[in-house]
Amino acid sequence: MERVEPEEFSRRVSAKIGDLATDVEVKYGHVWAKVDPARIVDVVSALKTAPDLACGYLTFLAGVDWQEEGFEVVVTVYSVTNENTVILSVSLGADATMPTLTGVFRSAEWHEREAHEMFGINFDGHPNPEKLYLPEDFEGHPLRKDFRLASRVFKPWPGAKDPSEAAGGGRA
Amino acid sequence: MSSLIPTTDRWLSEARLSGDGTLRTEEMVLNIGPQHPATHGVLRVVVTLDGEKIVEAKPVIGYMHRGHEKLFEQRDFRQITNLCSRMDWLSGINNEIPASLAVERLMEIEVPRRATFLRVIMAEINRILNHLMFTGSFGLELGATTPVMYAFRERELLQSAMEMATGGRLHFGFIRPGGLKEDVPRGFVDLALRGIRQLQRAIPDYEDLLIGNEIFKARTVGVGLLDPDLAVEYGVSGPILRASGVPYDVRKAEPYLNYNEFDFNIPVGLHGDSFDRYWVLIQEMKESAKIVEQALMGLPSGSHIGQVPKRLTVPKGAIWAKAENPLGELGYYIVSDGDSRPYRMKARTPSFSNISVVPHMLRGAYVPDMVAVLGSMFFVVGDIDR
Amino acid sequence: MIAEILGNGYVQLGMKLGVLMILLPATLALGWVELKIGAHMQARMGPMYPGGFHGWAQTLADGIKFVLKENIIPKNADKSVFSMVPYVTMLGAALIYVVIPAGENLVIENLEVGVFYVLAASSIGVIGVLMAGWASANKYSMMGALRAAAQLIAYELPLVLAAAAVAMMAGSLSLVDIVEGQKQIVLAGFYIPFLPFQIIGFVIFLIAATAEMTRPPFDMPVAEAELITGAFTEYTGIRFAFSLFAAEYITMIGLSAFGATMFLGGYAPLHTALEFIPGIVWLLAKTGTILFLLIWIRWTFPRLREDQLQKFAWKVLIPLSLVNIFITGALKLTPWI
Repeated sequence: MERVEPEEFSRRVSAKIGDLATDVEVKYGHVWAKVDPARIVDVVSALKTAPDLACGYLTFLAGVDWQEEGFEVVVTVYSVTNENTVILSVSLGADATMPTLTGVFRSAEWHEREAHEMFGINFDGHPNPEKLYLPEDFEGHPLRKDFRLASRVFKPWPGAKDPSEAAGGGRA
Repeated sequence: MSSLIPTTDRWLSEARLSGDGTLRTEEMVLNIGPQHPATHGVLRVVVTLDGEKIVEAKPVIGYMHRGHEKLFEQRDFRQITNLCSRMDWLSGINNEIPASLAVERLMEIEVPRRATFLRVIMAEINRILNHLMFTGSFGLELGATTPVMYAFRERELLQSAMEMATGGRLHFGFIRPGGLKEDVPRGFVDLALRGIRQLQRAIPDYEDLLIGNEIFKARTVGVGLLDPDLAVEYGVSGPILRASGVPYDVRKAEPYLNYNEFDFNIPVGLHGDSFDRYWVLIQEMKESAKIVEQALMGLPSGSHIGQVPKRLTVPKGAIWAKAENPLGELGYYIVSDGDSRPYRMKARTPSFSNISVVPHMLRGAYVPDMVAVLGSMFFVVGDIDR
Repeated sequence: MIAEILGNGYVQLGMKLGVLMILLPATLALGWVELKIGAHMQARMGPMYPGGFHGWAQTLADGIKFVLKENIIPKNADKSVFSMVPYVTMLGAALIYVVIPAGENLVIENLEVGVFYVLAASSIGVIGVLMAGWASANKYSMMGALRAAAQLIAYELPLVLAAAAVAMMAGSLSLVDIVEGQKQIVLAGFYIPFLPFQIIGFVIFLIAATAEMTRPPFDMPVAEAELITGAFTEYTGIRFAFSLFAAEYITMIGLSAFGATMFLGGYAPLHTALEFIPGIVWLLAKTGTILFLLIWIRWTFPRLREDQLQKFAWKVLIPLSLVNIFITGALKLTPWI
């Protein structure tokens, strides 16, 4: 297997999903793109099925909490044959909902369950939207920025030895 | 006594008969784990059994979820490498490397050559330590108690070399953004080389002990087949993916550190069964030993850490950095908002993806096969749960 | 000799008491030996501290620990059956010793059907295992018990057939007669036991006996990586020690002594010039040899799978033991024996 240059791979990605995604660029040797939630399923299945891309390897799916700007879901797929990574960033609307990717990647099930319990992001059509890590009766979404680490509420993180922030205490 | 032994009539009236009058067997749900010797750690597998045959298996994870991703957001970039080493506790150095790679790339820090060489040496020694552990424990799972003892004998010298350099035997905490915590002490090179030589002498023993053993073959050949397409779709990586015939190794695909300077091969299996996975593990130890040898021979002098500011303020941006952990592809997706702590740090751990494919592999297998499959999936529970 | 002085009744009483008194210490000793041999095979030292000399008191300390531990009976268990198990397994194990001769007259009971009796007694233990599995109200225990029962049925047959070939050689089922039969051929002063003629039978015996004792590589009923401890998962303290460890080691010594009697000439000395050494020493030495073989096997091999074990028993061992009987028959017909 020969590695395709990321620039060349990025051109192929643009040719295939250029009209579905924006800001296709190469950063740190990986191809990055922004996708609308409504189009993510089409984009991912195009990346997976196109013979010259063959991104059949779901590396991970993760949420990011941008507070006022809503949630972002990062979907990373990899092509084992072309040895290139495509990182798709999906900005979700106020309802924090996007369609499930389990139809394209069966492995998305666990990743989506994790993002669901950690951020409260909903995945439309998920076959088994149970909690993955947390107990059934756990309340709240721990990785949201407004979920404060219980121990930090009482005592700021004592590890900040840098003089400039010693007084500042911990971030939520 | 009479109540102990039911009469035939009572027995027949209580037994469940299916339509044609034959006895109907019932499926049994068996909870294996979280405390069970086969799941070394706290993985729980809920299996539905028909006799000894597994109808369905469902891994239940989360018994060791420690919220690493939340904790990352509380620590500054120097501290997160220490936290990373606690995810997969068998390969601390390999966990720390991609975290500091990400920071170095974002901050454009130049890492001295000596530090890069030492990182490779330690990562590969750590890989050997990890593989020795799993080759040994796989034998244990199949009822052979000797391989694990042999493995620990070989681990000892390499483990002391690591201890000599880092002061730790499990959580090394030695990699820093920009280089290493400190330079290795005098004698490290000799000790590491001695450990490698001892390992190279001992590997034929392992091969004789299990690979050539008929019972071992009967238990593993053709057991737990993992189809390469399924493996790729599930994001399976590391020795398990390579045993299925897919030659994906981050060290070759996207060389980090200076892996492109060393001569080593990627062992690839043919069938993707438990035997191949074990075989790949043994071969990888040989290749890692080769890398360590080359790196120790060519170890340049110089500084162990580059020009790093006292306060690590990482510029705004996002990055995805990955490395080949002994168990597979380990990567961190780091979002920085310009502070000295990550705004969001996602850890993509190999065991998580590797274990998610297990239900497909266990369907139709026997209970003893489950042990052979789980043992050859080489997982660390801390790496699944984070 | 001793019998002439004391009379048979006293010998029997003495043997009974002696066997009873020696069984538990022998168990502890064998446990320690197994720990040490296993350790040295695995490049370890094994127990070194308890008692001073090479940790000789390790198993004694273990025994005391078991006695001091709490005896737990699960809430849903069938209490009477559950607590009967150690007696049953120990009974099956101890009964073997009744017919093992340590000398021509040094035997508790020289039964005419001695071979048969040993095989019957050694399979009592599995009833205990079944009882334990059923009474524990635990799925792992139940599976372990069922595995043990299936295994016993599969391996009883090759064991019987291997023993039958020896009985054919000796023309008797009495163990004393079998040993005397092995004193018949003398080559340059050496007594030739049945082993050279029954080498297939001996291998079958070793395999089947290992399976019968559920020791590795046939320890699926207690496979710790799968079933935790199989039928004895719920057992604790003294009950656990007796139903699992003591029963296993006593059966192991008993079957090894049986094997030594059947194949290695039992109390018969190696050479006519060594007649002055008492028969019991020879018996113990030969038993020890077989015990070492069993321990060696245990620390070397991985475990088979349940269905592979059944296949191995029915498709390989049983046909092979039938062939062995046929060969034995042919040997008996040849004039030079």
